Amino acid sequence: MISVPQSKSPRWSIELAVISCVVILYGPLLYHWVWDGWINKGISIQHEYFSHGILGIPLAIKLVWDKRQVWHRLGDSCHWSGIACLLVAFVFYTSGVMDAINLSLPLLLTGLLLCLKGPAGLRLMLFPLVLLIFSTPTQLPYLIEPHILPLQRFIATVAGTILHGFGYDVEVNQIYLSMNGQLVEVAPHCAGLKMLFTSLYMGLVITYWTGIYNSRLRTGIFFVGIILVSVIGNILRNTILTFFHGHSMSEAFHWLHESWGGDVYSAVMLGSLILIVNAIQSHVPVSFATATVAQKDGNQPTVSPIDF
Amino acid sequence: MALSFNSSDSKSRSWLRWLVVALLAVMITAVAIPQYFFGQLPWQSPPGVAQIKTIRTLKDTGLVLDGWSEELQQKISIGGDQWSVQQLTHANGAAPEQMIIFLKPQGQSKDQPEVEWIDLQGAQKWQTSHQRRLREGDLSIDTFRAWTSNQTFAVAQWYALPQGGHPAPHHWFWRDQTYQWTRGERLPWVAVAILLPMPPLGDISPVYPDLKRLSQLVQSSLAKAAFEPES
Repeated sequence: MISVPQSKSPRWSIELAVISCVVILYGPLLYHWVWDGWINKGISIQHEYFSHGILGIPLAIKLVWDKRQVWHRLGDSCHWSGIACLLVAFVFYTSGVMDAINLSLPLLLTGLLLCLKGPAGLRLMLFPLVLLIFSTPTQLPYLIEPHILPLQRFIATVAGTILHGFGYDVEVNQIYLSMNGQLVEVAPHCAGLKMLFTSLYMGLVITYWTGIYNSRLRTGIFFVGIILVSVIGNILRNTILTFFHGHSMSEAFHWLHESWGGDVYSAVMLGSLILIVNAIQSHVPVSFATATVAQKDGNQPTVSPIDF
Repeated sequence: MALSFNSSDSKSRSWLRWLVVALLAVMITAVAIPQYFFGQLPWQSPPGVAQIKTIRTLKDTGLVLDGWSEELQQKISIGGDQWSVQQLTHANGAAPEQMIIFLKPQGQSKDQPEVEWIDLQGAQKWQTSHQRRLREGDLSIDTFRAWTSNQTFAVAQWYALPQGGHPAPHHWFWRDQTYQWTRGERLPWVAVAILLPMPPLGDISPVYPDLKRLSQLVQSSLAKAAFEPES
């Protein structure tokens, strides 16, 4: 009789205690990521590569909230690897090395999932956790940048060829475009590495949202599409930038390069992802097998055979 | 309603779960609270480079080399950053007679090696060929032949570090991570390119011994002039 009202409160007491601790431990760090790094752009270019976390982290929190009932129904179990994750996270947190401190957040959360509900808990929260992992700022872009030199050369060459086609006198040397004595360098972040990061991240979210991850064919085509859109978009962007720079239109150049023109460009790019996924959903079959069946049944690849 | 709290099994598990909370509480009291209230947050006091002031002055002064006299030293701007360029001649007229040194010392502790080689090549409008990486002890250098319409050079380039050097940014990166973990400091670096004039579009292989020897000389004098801890 007496214990009935009490049974309500301890239901979530562990989770509440854990979440409070995590907020105290990481609240200031997240504030630093978002406010100093992504909104005021005051940490580093490498940090800005992860600015999609502004959308991704709140989304991850919402998804975790949506799954709270399922989480509660899972049986309690503690996997030893959870303890290992917690200990590594503890070492990273105290290291004073910025990358390690950042990485300690997803590590700690992985450890907590494994300690509270075991592997089943980790599987349940895997997608929100992946959203957080890909938003965790590290020096990964720094290590990748030197390897995309061929892409930079390619973009410079194609942009030069396009401008040449319009009858302008353009010279291409490696990753440099010169027009009317003005030099434009296709730097790694200008070559769209950041935009590619953001597009792939948003692609991940859209894949989850629309459920096309159930079809390997559709997911594959979608991600190939994302990469193509991002490369083509950057060729156009660099062509226009070179044109502005070559004609000494410095205001237009800055508008597209770092002002809100760049944001409009990003929005158009991300909008095109939605168009691609819509096109895929209406024109690409779930798999090759269903495509042949559907074609036999009257050439309607958009309708899956289950509907018959 | 069935309360599964009664079984001894789930009681012990629940005890283990509270241990996790206790671990978090230890993290808060031992690490987070002192950082928030008494010390500084890690990102407000990032590790620095102890010798940064000495390193920074390199772009004003250039480098003094034993056995070489300086013809010219000036600060130039390449790719928006400041470099020191020096023209040196061999003191006793021995071959090679002339050498040009480009130095880009790190400006702030948080600067990282990035696209120095592409910037230099672009600014000098070089055509290049015969890329080859040479190695001697803990110093690796990238060598190549660079030419413009009126001159040809044999070039060696690398990021000089306190112990040795390497042309690739990732080499600096992993050494820097080790430095941060073990010493709580950042690893200093200076981008170096040395140029030896050579016959127009001539064969670069006879120049390799000179490039190796002079890279060693520049590396060791940088280690003495810039990387030694200030006393």
